[in-house]
Amino acid sequence: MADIVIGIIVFGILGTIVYRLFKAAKKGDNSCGHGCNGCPYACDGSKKH
Amino acid sequence: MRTLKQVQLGETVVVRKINGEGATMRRIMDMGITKGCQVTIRKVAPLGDPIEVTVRGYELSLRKADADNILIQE
Amino acid sequence: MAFRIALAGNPNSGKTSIFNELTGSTQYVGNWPGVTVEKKEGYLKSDKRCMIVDLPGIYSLSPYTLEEVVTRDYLLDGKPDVIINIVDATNLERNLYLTTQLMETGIPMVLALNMIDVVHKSGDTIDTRALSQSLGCPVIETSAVTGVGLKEVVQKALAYAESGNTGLLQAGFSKTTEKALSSLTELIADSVPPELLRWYAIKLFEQDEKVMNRLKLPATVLSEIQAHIKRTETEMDDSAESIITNERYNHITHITARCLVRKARIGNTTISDKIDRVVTNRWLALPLFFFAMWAVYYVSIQSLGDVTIGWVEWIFNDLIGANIARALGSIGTSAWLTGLVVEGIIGGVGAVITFVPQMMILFFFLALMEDCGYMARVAFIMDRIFRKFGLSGKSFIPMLIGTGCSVPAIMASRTIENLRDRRMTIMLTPFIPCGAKLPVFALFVGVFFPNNTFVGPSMYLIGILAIIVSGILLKRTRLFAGDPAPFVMELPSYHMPRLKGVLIHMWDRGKAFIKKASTIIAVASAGIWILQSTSWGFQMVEPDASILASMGRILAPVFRPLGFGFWEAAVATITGLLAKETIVATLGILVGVGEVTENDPNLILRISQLFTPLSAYAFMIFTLFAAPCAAAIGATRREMQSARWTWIAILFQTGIAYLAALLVFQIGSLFV
Repeated sequence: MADIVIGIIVFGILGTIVYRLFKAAKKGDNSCGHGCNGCPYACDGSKKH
Repeated sequence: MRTLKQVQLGETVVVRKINGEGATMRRIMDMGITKGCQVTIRKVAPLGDPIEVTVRGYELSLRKADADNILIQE
Repeated sequence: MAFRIALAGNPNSGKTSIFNELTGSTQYVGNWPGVTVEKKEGYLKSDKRCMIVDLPGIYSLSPYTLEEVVTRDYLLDGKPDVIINIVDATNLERNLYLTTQLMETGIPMVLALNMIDVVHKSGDTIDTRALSQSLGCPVIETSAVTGVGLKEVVQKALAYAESGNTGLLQAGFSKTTEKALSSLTELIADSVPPELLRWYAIKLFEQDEKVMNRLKLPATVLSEIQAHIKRTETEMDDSAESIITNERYNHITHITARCLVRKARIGNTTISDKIDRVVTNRWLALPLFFFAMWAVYYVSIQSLGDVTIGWVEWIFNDLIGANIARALGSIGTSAWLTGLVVEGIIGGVGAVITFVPQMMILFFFLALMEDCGYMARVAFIMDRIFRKFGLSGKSFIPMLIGTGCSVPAIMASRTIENLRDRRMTIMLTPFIPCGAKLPVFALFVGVFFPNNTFVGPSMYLIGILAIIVSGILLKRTRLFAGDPAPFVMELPSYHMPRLKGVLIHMWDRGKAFIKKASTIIAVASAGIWILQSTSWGFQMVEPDASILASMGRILAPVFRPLGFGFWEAAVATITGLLAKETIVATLGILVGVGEVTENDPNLILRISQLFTPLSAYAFMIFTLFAAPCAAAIGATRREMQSARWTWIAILFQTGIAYLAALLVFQIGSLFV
């Protein structure tokens, strides 16, 4: 019983992360988040001028 | 006639003419090295090139090869 | 009303600081010309309907650099309602050069005379009324640091956007030039909008190719234009571009003569000069640079940084790991699932998070060095070396960013005009150890070289050395031969670093790192743990008999000549393609670093059963050079815009990695 509940929680979280990563990759955001928030350079390249 | 490349360290000179065209020379002019302006040689990089000059009150660095295209008044 | 406000100005004029103040966002600001490559958008804090666009910092509206073209196109096609021209008051003449060009776009403008506090302090005076009269636009004294004047700038800008009032006094040229310009104006009067007549006439006179292509004038008109230009050039004995630039600066000199009073400087040595005399000294410059890098690395990774490791390990292992294990056990979860959560996910993520404080300290110091203006001098010092293999000191910018992450570094190579140089910079930038490779080095330094302060920094030295050597070699091949890129760069004054900006930078890095660890690393860790604990028959087994081990063993022989031909290292190398921190997570799970504290003899025993100090060093070298992570490969693909070049880059990098690690291990074996 505990296995089922914990299993659903763990794999649910992992699945959500993978889903989000794929969605982000599709949108063109790079999965590398290093400094991209504060990065002054072209990380927002997907927002074409 | 001397070019900016031959000017001694610490010397202040007046630009007479800028030879050449294209992106690099335009950039040099855009940065304020134009006919009639004063340029002081401030420093030479540790390895002999590029040089640092004071022009229009600020510091600019450029290579000796490009400085050679800048003719100066005697 | 909903207006669009464009921020335009010279690089390093405080534009991004003002953007942050006006929009309440936290973009990183550097004391480095050219921090903003692309334009950024935000909304005014005081009026959310108004959009502010932070344009790249530029010196001119010439057609020669990407930033200038981006700005020009935005001003002409995007038609913002008003421009806030940020002018660095300490550098009035050169800044006004751009101002006069912006005025020609016919967009209402408000001038923010920024860094006015610095001017006051230096004893200079600027007559803002006279300046305002000479330009025909409002001039407001501002300081982005203290926030002085920003409210007024916004008020004025909104008022001007509303009224559409220009009333700008355009720069006047000499009689001869004006005559030619008015002839050109007549010729193109039907093909361009009236408010841009003068702009186009000047650009055509300068023989600006981008504008010529854009207007698509008939051949007869073009040849007439050429005739006018030729005539003027002969009369003035100068090229058209040079005529315009000269006369524009003459116009500005007249303005500054009216409104700027410079305090006489005795012996003209400012503090900036004194610092400069030392750090760019003929003999001291290079040793000082290497000492600075060593000191930064020593403090952040070894002395101060090392202390923090214990804390994070305690939090992850004793606090989180142990308690979750107990909780899961008490509700009767099976050993397999508990193992996945505790050893796999928490162990893997924890192994990576351990190094976050070290990274943040490192970035704190790097941002400090950049913000105070030292890094611009480093480019000045290094230019000669870089030029030896045909790159300019400018390639140093991407490489500097590369200490953080290769992805933005590869993207920053866009500023390099020359295609060959750009390709080479993209290929070589990942050789600079990025933040994600740091944990790998920190791990091995901690286990094998705890008392050696040079092993860590040596990665930077070897990285730089490899860039130089491969640069020289590549330059001799047909693919990369050619003239060196230009190096005309402003050297900004030193200033006290702004602690707030540096801290923002540090926090952003740390946050991004944690974000990555909690997403991609968590999933990878779970995957690795499952693979290392099950056999092909889906039975729980010891790691040695697992799926992962059998896969690793296929690849392991390849690495035998490098000294790490065992399956754990092979697996770590491959998982490193996902993200370099995964190497640490993988080793953490496989060797169990995640469960033991640093001083536990178990860890040293286990990891030193696998590696010798020499093979560990070879492994570090391999990690340093080998194909970067998936995100960086993606960035390479985007910036190269060619699959062929992407493959060349990956194969080149991996080839160098194999060769360098081979040399280290084989030559090292002779001595050890």
